[in-house]
Amino acid sequence: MEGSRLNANSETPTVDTANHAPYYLPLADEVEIFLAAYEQRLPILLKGPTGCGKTRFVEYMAHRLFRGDDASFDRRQVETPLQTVACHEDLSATDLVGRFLLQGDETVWQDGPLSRAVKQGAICYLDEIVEARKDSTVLIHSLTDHRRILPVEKMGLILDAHENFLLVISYNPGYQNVLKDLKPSTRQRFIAIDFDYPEQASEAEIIAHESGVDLQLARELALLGAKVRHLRHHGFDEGVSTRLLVYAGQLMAKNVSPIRACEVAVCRAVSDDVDVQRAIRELVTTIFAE
Amino acid sequence: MTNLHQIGVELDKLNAASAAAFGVTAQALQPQIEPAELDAWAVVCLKIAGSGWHGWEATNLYLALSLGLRTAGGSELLLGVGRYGSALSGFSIDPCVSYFRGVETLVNHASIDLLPAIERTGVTLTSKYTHAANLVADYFKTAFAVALQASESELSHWLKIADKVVRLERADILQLLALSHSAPRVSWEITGQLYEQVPVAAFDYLRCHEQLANTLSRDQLQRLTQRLLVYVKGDHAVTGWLASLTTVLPALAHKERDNLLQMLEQLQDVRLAETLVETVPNLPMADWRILDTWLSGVFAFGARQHETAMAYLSLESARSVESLAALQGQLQLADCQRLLQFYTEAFVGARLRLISREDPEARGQHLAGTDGTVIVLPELAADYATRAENFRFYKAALLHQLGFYEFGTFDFQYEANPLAFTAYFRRFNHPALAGVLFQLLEDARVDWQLAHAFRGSRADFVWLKQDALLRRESVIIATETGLCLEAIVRTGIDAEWQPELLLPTTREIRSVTQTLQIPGASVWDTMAAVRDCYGLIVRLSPSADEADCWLEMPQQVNFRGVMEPDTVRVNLQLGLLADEDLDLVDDDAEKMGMSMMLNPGDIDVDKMKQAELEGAGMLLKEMDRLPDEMSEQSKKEAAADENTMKALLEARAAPQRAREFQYDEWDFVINDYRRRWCTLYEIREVDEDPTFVDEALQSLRGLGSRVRRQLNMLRPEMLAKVRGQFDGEELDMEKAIEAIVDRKAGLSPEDRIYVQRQRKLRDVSALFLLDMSASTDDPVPDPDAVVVEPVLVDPDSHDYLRDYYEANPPLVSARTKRIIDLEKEAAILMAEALQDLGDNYAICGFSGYGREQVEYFVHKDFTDTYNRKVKDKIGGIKPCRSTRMGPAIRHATQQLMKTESRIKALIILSDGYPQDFDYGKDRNSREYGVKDTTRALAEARQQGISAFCLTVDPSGHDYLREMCPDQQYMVIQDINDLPGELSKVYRGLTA
Repeated sequence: MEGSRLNANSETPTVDTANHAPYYLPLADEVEIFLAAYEQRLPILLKGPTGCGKTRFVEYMAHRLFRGDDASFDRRQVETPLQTVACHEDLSATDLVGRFLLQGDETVWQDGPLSRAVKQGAICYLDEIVEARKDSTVLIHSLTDHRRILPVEKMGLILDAHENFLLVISYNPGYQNVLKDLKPSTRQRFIAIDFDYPEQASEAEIIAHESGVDLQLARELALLGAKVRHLRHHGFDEGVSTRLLVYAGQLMAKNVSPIRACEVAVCRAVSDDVDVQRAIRELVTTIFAE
Repeated sequence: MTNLHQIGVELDKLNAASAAAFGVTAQALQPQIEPAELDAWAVVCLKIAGSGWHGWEATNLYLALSLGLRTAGGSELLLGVGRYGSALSGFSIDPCVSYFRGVETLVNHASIDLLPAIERTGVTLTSKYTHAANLVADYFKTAFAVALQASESELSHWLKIADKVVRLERADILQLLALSHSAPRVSWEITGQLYEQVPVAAFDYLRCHEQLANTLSRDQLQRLTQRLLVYVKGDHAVTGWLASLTTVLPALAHKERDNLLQMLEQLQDVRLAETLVETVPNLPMADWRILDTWLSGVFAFGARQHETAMAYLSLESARSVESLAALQGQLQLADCQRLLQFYTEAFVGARLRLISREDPEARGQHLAGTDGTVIVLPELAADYATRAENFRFYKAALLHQLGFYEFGTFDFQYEANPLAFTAYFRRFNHPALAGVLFQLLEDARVDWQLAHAFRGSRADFVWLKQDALLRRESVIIATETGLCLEAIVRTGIDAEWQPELLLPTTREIRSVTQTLQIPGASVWDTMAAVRDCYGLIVRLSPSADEADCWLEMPQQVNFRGVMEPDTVRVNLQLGLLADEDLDLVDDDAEKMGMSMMLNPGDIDVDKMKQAELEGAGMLLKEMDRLPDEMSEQSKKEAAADENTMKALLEARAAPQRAREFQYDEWDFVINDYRRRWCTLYEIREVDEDPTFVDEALQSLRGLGSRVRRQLNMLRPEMLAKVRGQFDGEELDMEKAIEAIVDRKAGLSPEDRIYVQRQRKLRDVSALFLLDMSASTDDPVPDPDAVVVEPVLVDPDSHDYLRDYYEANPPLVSARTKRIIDLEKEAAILMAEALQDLGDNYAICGFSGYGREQVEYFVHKDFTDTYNRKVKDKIGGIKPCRSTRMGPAIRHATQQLMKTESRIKALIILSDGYPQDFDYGKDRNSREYGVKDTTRALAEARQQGISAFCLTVDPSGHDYLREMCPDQQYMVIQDINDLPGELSKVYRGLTA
């Protein structure tokens, strides 16, 4: 029981991509690159700050490849096309591959999300890979070159990856310090797609779509985002994410006043420094009318 | 008769005119008085006339008086006056003349009854000063003058004073006589009362009475006099109070003077009253509500707390300043500067610093302004009633400046000229007019664009513009050009149309201006509007097109300012240049796999600026080579451009020698902070000594490696979570399952099944603060040496240091180590060791002389790399002056806070208690300095800084115990241990 709970913690519930396509607004050629890379089964590294749409992009691509226009027959059969793992500093190789659990007087083996994806032929997405322990990053080496194998040490097995399997990792170069950099030996196994917060106009469109606020408010939210991101160096390296702006928009759509909505979704969320919070609040009252 | 005749003959020998007058007067008197009295009178006349040179003058006066005297007081008065006069004439004629003249006015105007009293004091005077003719003459002049001006009783009061004064020194008498003349309207009764209490106070009162009487109404003067009578009963002199009143009162309006008096009536101690009067220029004297509430604060302390009350009334204590500011709704820029700085950065993203108008870098900006590197705002917003409104003003004024950047004012380009704006304006015959038009139109455009793009700012601008309009109501405009400019300003602040401005041209100007209101209007549209407006103005008054035509400038709008667009452009370009180079270095650093922080201090921005300067110069030189295409005029202009450009660049490249900071100081006597009490100069240009560091390292090789070894134990371990522990917050799942499996299998299970979190990452900034006071020049105490007490010198002396050393010559040879050398050695060893450890550290020193001159030397900043230059700077540390620790600690705290490290350590090395000549009112008391330092250390701790004091003063336990908690100070017994102890302390602080 203990083990399965631990597992559930590191593995976010897989999105139901079967019925609807996730909304994603392409900002450059990332969709084409991803499709081409998938054709060649090249592992992909997504670089970019928090909340800029990396996870959404992977979901969108998973839907497109396994359910949408680009789905082949066998890919449509895959039950969960996307296995997402949010990596944390305690995530070990065992959490990815699988472990023995106690059941009554026996030990039983349970697959980890990586093994599951390797077996089923799904996309495995390791979010914020640098957060994970070093042994788990080394584990993926053999999966990401021509061998495409996953050694399961405890079982004494070597799993050959399914033909449709693809490994996608994400990495946020912004806030990690130099001590938590991705090793070149890992980094150089992936093609890298850079992400950043969208341009104001695109971001406004995304906010309007995701939150349901009118375009005027969405534009103002995007403007706020652009301004607050100038403050990246003051205690918060990331700036405000598109996700937070969408949250603010969602509150506005529920008739929370714009200033209040930004206060709770943006000011308080991005920094603990009181003066920074107040500066952002002043920015909010400059941008949004009462 | 014979007698009379003989006297007439005698008189005639002396003076013919006198003899004639004598004859006439004698004839007139004859029927009125007895013959014997007439004879006596005649004898008196002769005696006066014969008393000496110019005796006839006095005689004539007496003769002229005689009939009047006889009428007023009979022959008795006639002879009395005559005899008194002749007695006076006995030693000089002047007193006698003054006397007769006085008696004459008295007879003509006032009661003659006062005469005996005047004469009595005169007798006292003459008997004391037998040869002081002038003094006596002055006395009579003054006495009779007072008698004429004042009532009988007033004169008697004056005489009472005079009677006492004449018994004193000559100077006192002269003073009274002079002051009696200068204070004709004074009440002698009150002066007498004052004289009874404190003679000096009476003179002070006389001295300023006339000025007070001119300034104050009768009623106010009376109230003030009452205060004076109260204060004079106290133990302290009223001189200062009266003196400051005479300087302050003329500047006040009637109502304000009433308020001041009302405040004074609440104060019973003249010292407090004097302090209050001195503070008046800084008080809102017109607003009684504020004054009353503020003043009531002073009574919270009780009578015992005199110092506290003094500090409160002089606006020196923080409590007082804050209370007044809160009452006035004032807002200091310093109170919201950090917030607005963030706002600025968020808004434009560029590295614009926000500074107050007081800052030397503000270069005389009044109102707000910007130059591409800084934005200047007023240091105080006090025009509005509440803090919220004043903040709103700040925000809008700042937003207006930011608007120039946001809406591309400085994107303007013209003929690739580095001074695009100047070049463009020069196309017009009157460039200054074009410049002014641009300023006004651009101000209007930016505010409109801001309101379009930032809906939240609309309300602010509507409010401020309405307010600005109210302030313009009384503007008088003389010229047509002025009218046109005013029309632009008014259009820009959305004013309703003014009928007097409703000329066809101003109407056209208004519509041209309004084209900038369209969303998206750019700086190019402004330039088009400049051209159009210029044309319209020239059409209206052709003289405006002449280059030297006088321009009537419109009154400025309070939340806007004046800017020099070319300065901003040049500075922005330089900024971009610096940024590009920084990026380049950044890339290199990354390529080389360097994990250290980029150090902006290493980049020679000056050189880059120099390159830019040369570039600009070349451009202009190339233009010079085409003489055919350029007129003489434009050549000159080009040269001027070049000079301007050079000046701009040089101004920017000039290193800042010393930056100025203001710090509060804790005064334990008043139990409050003294606001902005100390001025600290941060000095980065310090002396260098290229040999010291290497020599020290050579001689300390053994100790150096020991320090290094100790600090190396601090090397960071990456793992924040340690698995396989006996104890911990959570189970290690793998190990736990293995243990259970082992147990089931009958094996002895492993009991290290826990995960423990251990914070082992290093994120440390440390600042070493070295005492550079004069006493660190002392040789390191040798336990076997004979103790010699240092000779004290006057700390106020102009050259304190020199005097000190002349009085205390070094006892030992120059090779002996001094305390400062040990401090330096300790700093060097730490620097060497920390270089390996990778911790962020700074080495600073402090000294100074007095609260206005605290010096803070930065020998190595956090961002400096430990290179040759830094080593030389550390080597150059040398003893300076006093030890004012408080401000230095506060400044070090500020520096540490900027590093944003998790662990911040402040290590202070000193050789004695904090001391400065004005560190507390009682210069012999160490308590003030110790308490302030204690407070400064507590402030540092409050902000999360671990502070530690190391001292070599054997008596250090006494005061360090008070200044720091137990574990945070150390007294080093053997000074040679200092470097070694320092490393231990460092480990303790940062582990």
